[in-house]
Amino acid sequence: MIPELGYGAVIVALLLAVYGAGAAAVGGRTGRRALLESAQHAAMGVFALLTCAMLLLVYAFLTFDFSVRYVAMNTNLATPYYYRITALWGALEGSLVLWAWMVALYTLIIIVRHRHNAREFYPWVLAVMLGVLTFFLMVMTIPAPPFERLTPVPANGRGLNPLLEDSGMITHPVALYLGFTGFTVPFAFAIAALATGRVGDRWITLTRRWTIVAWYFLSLGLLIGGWWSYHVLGWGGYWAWDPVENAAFMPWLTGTALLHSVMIQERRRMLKLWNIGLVIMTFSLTLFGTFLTRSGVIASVHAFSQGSVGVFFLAFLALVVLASLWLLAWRWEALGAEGELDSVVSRESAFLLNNVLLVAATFTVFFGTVFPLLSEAVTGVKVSVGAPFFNQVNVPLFLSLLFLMGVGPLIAWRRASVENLRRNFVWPVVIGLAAAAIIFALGVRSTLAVLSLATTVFVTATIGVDYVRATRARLRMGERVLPAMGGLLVRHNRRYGGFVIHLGILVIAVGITGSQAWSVQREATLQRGQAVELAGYSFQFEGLAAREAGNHFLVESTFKVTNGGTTARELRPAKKFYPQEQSPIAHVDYHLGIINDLYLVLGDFARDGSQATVKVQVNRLVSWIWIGGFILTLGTILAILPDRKKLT
Amino acid sequence: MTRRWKWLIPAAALPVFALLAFGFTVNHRDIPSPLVDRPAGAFALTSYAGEPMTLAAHRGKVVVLNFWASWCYPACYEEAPVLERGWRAYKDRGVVVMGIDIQDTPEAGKKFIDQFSLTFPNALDPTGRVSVDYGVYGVPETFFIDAKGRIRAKHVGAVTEDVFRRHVDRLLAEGG
Amino acid sequence: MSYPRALGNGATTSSAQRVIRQRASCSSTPATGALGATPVTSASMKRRVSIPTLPRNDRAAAVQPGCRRAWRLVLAVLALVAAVAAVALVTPVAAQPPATNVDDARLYDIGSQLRCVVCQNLSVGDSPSEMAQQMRGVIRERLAAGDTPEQVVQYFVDKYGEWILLKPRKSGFNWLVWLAPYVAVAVGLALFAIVLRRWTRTRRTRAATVPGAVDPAMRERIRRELELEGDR
Repeated sequence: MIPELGYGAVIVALLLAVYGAGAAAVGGRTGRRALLESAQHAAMGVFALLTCAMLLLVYAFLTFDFSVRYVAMNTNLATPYYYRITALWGALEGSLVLWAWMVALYTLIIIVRHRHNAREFYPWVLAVMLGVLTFFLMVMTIPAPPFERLTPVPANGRGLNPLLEDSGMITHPVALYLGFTGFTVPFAFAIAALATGRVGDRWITLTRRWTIVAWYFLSLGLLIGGWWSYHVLGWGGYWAWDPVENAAFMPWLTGTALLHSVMIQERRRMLKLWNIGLVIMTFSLTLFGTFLTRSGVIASVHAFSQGSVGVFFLAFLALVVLASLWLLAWRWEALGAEGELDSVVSRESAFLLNNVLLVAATFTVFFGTVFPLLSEAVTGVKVSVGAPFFNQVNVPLFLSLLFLMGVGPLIAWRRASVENLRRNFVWPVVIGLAAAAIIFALGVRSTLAVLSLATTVFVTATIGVDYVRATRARLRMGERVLPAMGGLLVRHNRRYGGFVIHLGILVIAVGITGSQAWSVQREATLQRGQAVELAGYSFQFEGLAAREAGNHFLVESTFKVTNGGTTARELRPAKKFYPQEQSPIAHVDYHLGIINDLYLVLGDFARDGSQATVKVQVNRLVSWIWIGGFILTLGTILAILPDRKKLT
Repeated sequence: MTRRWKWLIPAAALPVFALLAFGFTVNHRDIPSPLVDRPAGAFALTSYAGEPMTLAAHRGKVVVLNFWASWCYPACYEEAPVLERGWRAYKDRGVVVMGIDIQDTPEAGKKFIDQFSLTFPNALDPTGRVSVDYGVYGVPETFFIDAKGRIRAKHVGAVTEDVFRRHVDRLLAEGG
Repeated sequence: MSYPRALGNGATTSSAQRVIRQRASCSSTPATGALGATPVTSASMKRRVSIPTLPRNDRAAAVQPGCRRAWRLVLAVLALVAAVAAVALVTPVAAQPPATNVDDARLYDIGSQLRCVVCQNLSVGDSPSEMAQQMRGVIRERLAAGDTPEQVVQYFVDKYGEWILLKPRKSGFNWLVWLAPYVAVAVGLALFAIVLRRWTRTRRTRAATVPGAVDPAMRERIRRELELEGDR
């Protein structure tokens, strides 16, 4: 019953989406309001039906309906109820439902927000959104139906992948998908701009908040993914340059470029062509990301599944890219740049350089990700391109971007005079150099670490200089200190929101630098009572304990951790044996700190508990990455606050 | 940019899609071994029966070296009877079948051997040194070694009767 | 737009500049910025300059220059101290001697170059899997037997093939992936230079953007004000 209802909902939604896309496009072309209205209703219907489908699937999960293949593959009778709900997006078919539902939700928001204030674009935006929905609904109907039946109905399901039984896995896909799907909206507006020929600033102004919110959710998704990798996967790292990770990182890079270059278009009416190109690139990269995850074209630890889904995604990706680039070429002349500059040293050129570096980084990551495939296609030799490569080639680019982050916000538009440079940069440069000297004097010999930290101090100093100067100006007007400081944030929330976001990135940069440069690890086989030393900590193996725990068998070890004699704590890394998995899953135990994280992974052990192999890590400054994420959140909230004085 | 050049931009995307489409034809787990036609690495293990098990002792015979594990389900469970039958059929014709159990415990290994009543020599590789020496990246993997001690073929995945016969017959024919 | 309540720091010529600076930093339309700011007409400029100084500000004017310098110095010292503190907070770790012995570092160094064959994108150094653990054992053994790191890596390449390396060897076709980043940056910078050249090619005079005839001294003041405005 449930599967039939769900399947029916999906098919009806598909038909509505097809109709709606066509009606909106024709309505846009001919100006007939009736068509547009009915397309609008179709979109609302799609949202309602997708919501129903999602709820039906969740219901099937909650009632252990193993006649639904998706439910049987991803849960079993022992799966806790909260994981049964989140198993909705645990594998391919359900993740598509979530994705489509989010696009439909965004479409609904567009209908509510923009049907009056964006009349000229509205039909085309609707058409594009419904077109994207059509594609996803088609995939949900043909190659990957979520409500596919399983006969005979098994008595018990297979169970959720144990690695997914974690809070990170509950939130990571949601945040990530909100980001991915969020970029559909600026893309739809860009296509609408191209279709109508109104390629000025209007579409950018309308999508400014969409872009930053989508960018934020993508950042959040990446950070939560890093957190999940760190505390679940057992290798003590947060980013492995896995192809699917790269696929999520690339739209983030181009999205960041977009956030900056739209400011140039808003202020100076330049880079119109570039901005549309960037939006198309960002959206295409999000599609590429889902393609990589679902097609198995490039080997990855993330890959959901194979099958014909990949073919569908590749075809859609090709269609989107070719069609949008064709539209871009068609409107090429209208997108000519009007602006002019007086000097190469100016904010425009700093932002442009920022874009160049970000897109170059995107290209590097893309090429490195597909190179194994290219090498096999051309030479027949299989090669791997992994973390060492990406770290090596990207670090200079990111360091340069870090430096630019300090230059961009303070340098003058059009032409930066010597006076302007002196006022804004002398102190930060001095402080940065002093910081470099101090870091070096403290014993840091890694060039990259010194450069990275000194640049971070430089950028922080530029933010400080700006804030102090602006506050002093308000103080001179007679305001008191705290209202002046707060008032600045509120009245110029875009600028200071941006600064806070930059601060978040800086904190993350420090975290990455510290963890890469100074983390240490050691592996040792210990008898009961023996200890291994690392970085001033002593980890003593106390013993093993085994027990049944819900849907798995748990072997837990106990380690007493002391720091120079004082007992710090006990850590219990474990191994979990799931009946549906071939090898045991390592359960990491860790202790987070502001400076030091203690991280233990249990390896081999003797059955009688007399001996165990353990890998201990002392990771430095990793918590700064998560803290930076919180700061990023605050900055984004500040940046998207409604403008007090201006009209939206 | 002149009017015609701008159309290059959509065209430039086409090779990328061609490459991605090529990716559908690739099997990522099928990695050619560099050890084919190279001398097989020596090893000295103790079999589950308590006897020493080495490669050198069987110089002059065709050797079928199979890497397996008790947790490797279902492939190892499918090929174990095939290997046992092959062993029984060919052992008087100058062919030796040997099994190496990797990343496993002695109890689980013994249980597997008893389950399939395997009579060919099997040994546990406790440290993984032998499996690394043969470039093993998954189980099951089977190496066909000729009488001169060179690896002539590597088969990834469960061995079938057909695969077994094909390789062994070929090596026997040329071994002479 | 709010106007400052207390204006002027004395009737000296430099005060006019300071007035303009004050006005510029007090005005608050950042999003429209330099070009979007209300065009300053000579009339309003004159009006502002001619506001008489108040007695309170006379005293302030006398005290200001020295006071301001001292204030700046204090601020600078505070900033440096803050920088030092921040840096010291972050880098206590660096001051500690390396806590692992050389073998651990060497092991991880080699391990991080090799791909864990069962994890699909982790290195042998990182991976928690049993296969990786055994491979690390092999590395340890070979190092102890006297192999150099390059020999150990080559051993693995001999057994598994080129794909076990996480960084492709710089030979033949693989040069493509190593050069790609540099090519991308070079192309990007070239485009950057071309675009900048085009942008700076057409220069319209500033006067054309400011309505009304403006004399040179006024133009100079306007330019300076727009510049400061443009800081935001």
